[in-house]
Amino acid sequence: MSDLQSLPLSRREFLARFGMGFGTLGLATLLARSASAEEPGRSAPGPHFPARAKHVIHIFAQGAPSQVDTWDPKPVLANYRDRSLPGLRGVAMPSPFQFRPCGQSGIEVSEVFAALREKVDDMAVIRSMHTDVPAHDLATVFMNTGSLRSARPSLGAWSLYGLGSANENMPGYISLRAGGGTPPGGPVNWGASFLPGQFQATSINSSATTSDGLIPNLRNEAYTREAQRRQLDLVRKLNAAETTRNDPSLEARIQAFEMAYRMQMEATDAFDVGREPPSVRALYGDSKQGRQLLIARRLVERGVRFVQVWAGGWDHHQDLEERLPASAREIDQPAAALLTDLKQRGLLDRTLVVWGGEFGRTVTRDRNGNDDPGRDHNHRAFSVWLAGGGVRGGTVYGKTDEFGARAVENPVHVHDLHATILHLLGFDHERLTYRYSGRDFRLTDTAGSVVQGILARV
Amino acid sequence: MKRAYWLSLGVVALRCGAPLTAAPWESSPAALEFFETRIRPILVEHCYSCHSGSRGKIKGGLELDWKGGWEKGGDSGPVIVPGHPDQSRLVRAVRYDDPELQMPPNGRRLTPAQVTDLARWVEFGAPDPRLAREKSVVHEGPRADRHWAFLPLSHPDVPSPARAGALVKNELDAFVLAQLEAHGVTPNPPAEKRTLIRRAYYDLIGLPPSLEDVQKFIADSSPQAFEKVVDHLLASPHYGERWGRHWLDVARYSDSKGQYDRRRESSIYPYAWTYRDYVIAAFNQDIPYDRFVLEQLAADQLTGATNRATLAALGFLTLGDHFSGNPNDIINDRIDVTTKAFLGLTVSCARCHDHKFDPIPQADYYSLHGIFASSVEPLLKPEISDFTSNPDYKDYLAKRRDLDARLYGVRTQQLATVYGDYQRLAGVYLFATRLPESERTAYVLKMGGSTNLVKAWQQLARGGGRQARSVFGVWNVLSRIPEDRFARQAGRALQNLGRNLDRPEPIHPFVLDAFKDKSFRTLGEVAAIYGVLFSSQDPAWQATMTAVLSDAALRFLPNRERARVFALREQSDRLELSHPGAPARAPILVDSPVPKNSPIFIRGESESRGAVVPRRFLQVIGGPERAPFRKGSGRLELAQAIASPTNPMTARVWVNRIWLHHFGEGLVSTPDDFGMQTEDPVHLDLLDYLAARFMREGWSTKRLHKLIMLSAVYQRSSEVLAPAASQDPANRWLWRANVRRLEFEPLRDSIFCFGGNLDLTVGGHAVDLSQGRRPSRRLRGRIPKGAESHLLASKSRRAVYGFIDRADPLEDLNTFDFASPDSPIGRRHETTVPQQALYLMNSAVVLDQVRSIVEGERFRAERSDEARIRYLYELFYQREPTTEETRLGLAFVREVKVREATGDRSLPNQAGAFEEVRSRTARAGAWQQYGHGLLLANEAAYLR
Repeated sequence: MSDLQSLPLSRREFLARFGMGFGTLGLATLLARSASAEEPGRSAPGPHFPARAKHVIHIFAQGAPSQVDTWDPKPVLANYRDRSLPGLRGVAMPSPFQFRPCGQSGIEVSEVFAALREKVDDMAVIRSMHTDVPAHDLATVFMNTGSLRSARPSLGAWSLYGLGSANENMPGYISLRAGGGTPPGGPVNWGASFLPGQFQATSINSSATTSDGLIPNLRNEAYTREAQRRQLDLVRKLNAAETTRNDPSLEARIQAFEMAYRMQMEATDAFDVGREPPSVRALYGDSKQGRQLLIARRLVERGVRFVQVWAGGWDHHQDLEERLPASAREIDQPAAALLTDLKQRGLLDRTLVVWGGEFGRTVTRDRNGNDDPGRDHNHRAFSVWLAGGGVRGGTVYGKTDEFGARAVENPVHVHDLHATILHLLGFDHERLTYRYSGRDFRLTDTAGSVVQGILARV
Repeated sequence: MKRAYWLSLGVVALRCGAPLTAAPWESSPAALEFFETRIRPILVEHCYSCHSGSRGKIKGGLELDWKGGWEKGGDSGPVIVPGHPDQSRLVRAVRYDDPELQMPPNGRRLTPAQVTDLARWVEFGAPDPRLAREKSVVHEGPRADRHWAFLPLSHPDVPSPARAGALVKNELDAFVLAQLEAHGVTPNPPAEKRTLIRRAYYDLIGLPPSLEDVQKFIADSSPQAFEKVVDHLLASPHYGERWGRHWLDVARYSDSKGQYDRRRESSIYPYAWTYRDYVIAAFNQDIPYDRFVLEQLAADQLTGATNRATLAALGFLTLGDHFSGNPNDIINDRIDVTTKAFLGLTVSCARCHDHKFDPIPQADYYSLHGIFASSVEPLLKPEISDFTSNPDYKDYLAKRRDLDARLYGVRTQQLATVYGDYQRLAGVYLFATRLPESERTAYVLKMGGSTNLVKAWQQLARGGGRQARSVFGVWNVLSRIPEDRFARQAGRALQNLGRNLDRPEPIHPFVLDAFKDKSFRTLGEVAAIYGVLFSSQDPAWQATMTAVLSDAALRFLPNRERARVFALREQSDRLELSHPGAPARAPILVDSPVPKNSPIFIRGESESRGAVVPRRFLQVIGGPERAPFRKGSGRLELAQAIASPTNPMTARVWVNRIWLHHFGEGLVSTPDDFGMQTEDPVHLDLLDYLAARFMREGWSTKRLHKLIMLSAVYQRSSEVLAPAASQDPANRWLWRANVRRLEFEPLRDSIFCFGGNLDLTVGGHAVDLSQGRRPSRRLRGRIPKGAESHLLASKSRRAVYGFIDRADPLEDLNTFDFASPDSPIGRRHETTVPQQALYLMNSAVVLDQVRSIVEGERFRAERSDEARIRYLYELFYQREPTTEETRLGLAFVREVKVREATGDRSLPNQAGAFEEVRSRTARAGAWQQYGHGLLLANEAAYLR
């Protein structure tokens, strides 16, 4: 990577000389490009210090999981059952679930994560997360892009932009959706916005069970590989005249064809969980989330930098006692398996796993459902955990107030979490910037500080 | 991009005022939270009307809309002594103990909880972040007053640029050229004829011109040659398909309801297609745009020469996400689509607070809320086609009757088993719902009931329909009071219920009667009173209960029955959706018999009701003195206000949408938001000119197209030429045409068209475009026998006829940036991802069509390789190949042939993908590979 940075080539020249290797190039290519091309912006900085993690798996618990039923025990709520809490609206709702200390670290975790809680010694649990708005679509986009206002590049896009891809045959950033529809906020959640197009995620509907289903049209049934290569070479020549137009979208399209061509080789394999031994498949379990996380591991193993995994269903306004454990069950065993599996393969050291939603929930009953109560939205407190690449396991960071309603000690804002993730990837979040319409943009806008308390000692 | 922008507007609406600062307790977050959530709403709702300058009244000299106001106090001195509620006149007044000092006046006293809150607040020291006076509710306006979009049309004079001549074909060019000259930018020369005809065809009908069309245009050297092309295209039935689809993006059109409650309803809108066809026809017939607005908002109320099919226009309102039946979310969606689509205003941002940027007070949102809350969807939709002459109708009817009978059967059975003995047991079940599990069983059994039925009664009480709520409303309110406060609060709560007879959900008079003069101290006694009522033999009461229960019989069902009913409903909707004999019906809306104004929902919460606001238009357009709507729900009056020539927004928004799709960029870059966050457009004069002329010329969209397309600015080449390229790289001054990428629909339709296989039938039921690969899960279920024909018949119909499942769109659509039907999208987000390439490289759709081209007679009739190459270029790109391109093609074909002759079977042993070339079809020959290559090239996917 570093020697590429010194090459005085425009990207197109580079592509011409080295074939279609754009996928390997993140910052380096852009450096070269900005040196020659129309955008006179300052070149983006390279990795600023050695990365602890080289890959990220972000499990997005969309819907806003309740903190006091999962990672943030508040037994005192039981003293207020069905009564109002000082300073809060509504009637207290103690957690119906039991917590107990787990692992060597003795972190208390709810029974709903029966398998995951045995992994607490690998995790840093942040109990003092807070965000800006208690509305799903806004907060979801905020968690993924750090922006409430306009479309900005997503966390994964920034990561890939910073790190570059490690496998030219695969997109460097993949978003796995567990169903056909798009999550709240839509494709902005994995978009590249003003970053060049190749940094947006390839979004995949993972509800299918075969590679063909996951990535439609992955196979060509009429051409040999050589014939297809020949055809794409023809297309490149045909496009040569067009690309003199200097339109970045035309060039992005050319790159998409080359990536598509190369993906045919490797994606079939990467997405085919059937190639895993039965023991591994059993570990993850034969469920939607089990398959998603197993795919995520296979992708990371193949050099994909950032895998966003949608694992939603946490919006429990009603019937929490029954529905929350069901949502937890979907992800519990698969996520525990992921940590075990990554560790066994020696991948956990360089893979950061993050689990969390877009905000938390009230510690009082949702006013809509009294008989089978649930909890309403609360952006002032929620929990997330991180594990692997550079994270100090067995850590609890931050505190909410007496009832779990508001982050009060060492509060961690979404920007802080982003700063920390970039830090683990080797970037100073204030220096990972991209110049766009005359301004240097960054993921954390004008805020964010690294949560030192969860970093492993080097 | 677009979507996130809306998000940004929503944000502020949700962010509550309390800043997080570390400071004394009075300004601590908890104190401010308390103020914001408990105190401010009381003051706003009950005090401001007489004690706030912003509302125009400061009675007794007392201002309660800021801290300084109560500190200074009124004519009789300070009203709050922080820390001392008993010494505070405000607290004494709201306690109503002193007959001389009672506020709010005239018995409109606060609830005990509110009184307690106020007293506690004063006791805490009356923390109050309102350091300045409340600003006027009518948004402070210097900026709003001057925002370009809210101003009347400016009727600018047409400029006379210096270098007119060929550069000015019509008035549009005069505006554009004046700007170009002012900035010293030279416009491009006109595009070549071949480029121009391709641009015109895709713009207007979304399909490529045939070889003959191109030849004819080139041969026509008259000055009207291009005008003839435009006229021809505007008269084509495919024009409506292309522009109808643009509008369907804005109308967030879908054939399904979104995430839905599968226990209650089927997920399909079986008649959505009638709205889609209405839109296509409206464009084709060039219905004046003001009429188009009226029809989509109020076709049910229009008189005059209205075709019955026009009723389908109401699908604009009714086909949004169904939000599992949540009425306020549905209304919000209707407010959102109406105001964004027609007015370029984000009124839905004012659901919880006043709009942060635009002069849209929350009250305006609830003015519109009242209109839509007073409009209801009838269960049975009116048929709009002549179905009796349909030969398949008899078959349809038989199936329809069969399904109806089966549904009826379930209901009868439910009524008997679940609600059969209600007169004796309803009170028992009601009470049982409040008992802990442990005691419940014993109690129910003792009373002779069945524990299995408790749940059903619980659901009925909580979640029944309107009538059920009128019966169980008292129970619901009383059972919500915590036990320790029951004795104290229950009486007052009941009184309140009885008093508010104008509530949107009044309590049934029989229920009020039953509780009259009764005393009760526990919920058990309440259940007993209900028990007596249920056993009443009064026929009027029994009629009510019969209605409530037969509604409930299909609403709340044990799991097994529920699955059966659901399956029947899905089947029923599929029958309607796909049976060739099913009558077309319009997804309409009608006014409810008793239209009602809505109260403001404080913070957007339906249970925190503020002042009731009249149903009327937005003040930003209608002015502060706008009159309330009087006719029915007011929907027609709303539509008339939107479509009025004095409203400058509607025409501006519309001409901008049309411009956007001709140029790839709007004159205003955010087509769904003309609010104060949008910059002044650089061509504002042009926009106003177009809007005014558009209205003057009878709101004719076709005339507008023609005006635009006959201008020089539309016909420019897209070449990137110096020095303009560096003077104006973003093309703000319109010196060149923009290079535009084709959306999914024209791209896919073209490929079928090239292959000679596009089915050009216009209109009809939705078709399944999935190619049988992965049909939507809405369609996967069993389609009743004999009903498949519509859905499955034609994969090769135009994409606009595809079934669109809001919750699970076809992956091809997702891949190619189809407009998500969740919210209005005037401009699609554009991505470039490998799956798009894979679709073009590998999908059966493309491979089959390419084969069809090279095996077609026309291709095979060409005599030489050069001629074949030329044919393909003309077919795909509407131009001849260059010498170099011909050479490239010849070399490619020759190489492939040589390789094949020499037995090139080298198949890399890569992980799976190419282990073998599975010959579902014959192996692709050299010409197929070549032709396919031309389709993959950028030129096939872009308009120059």
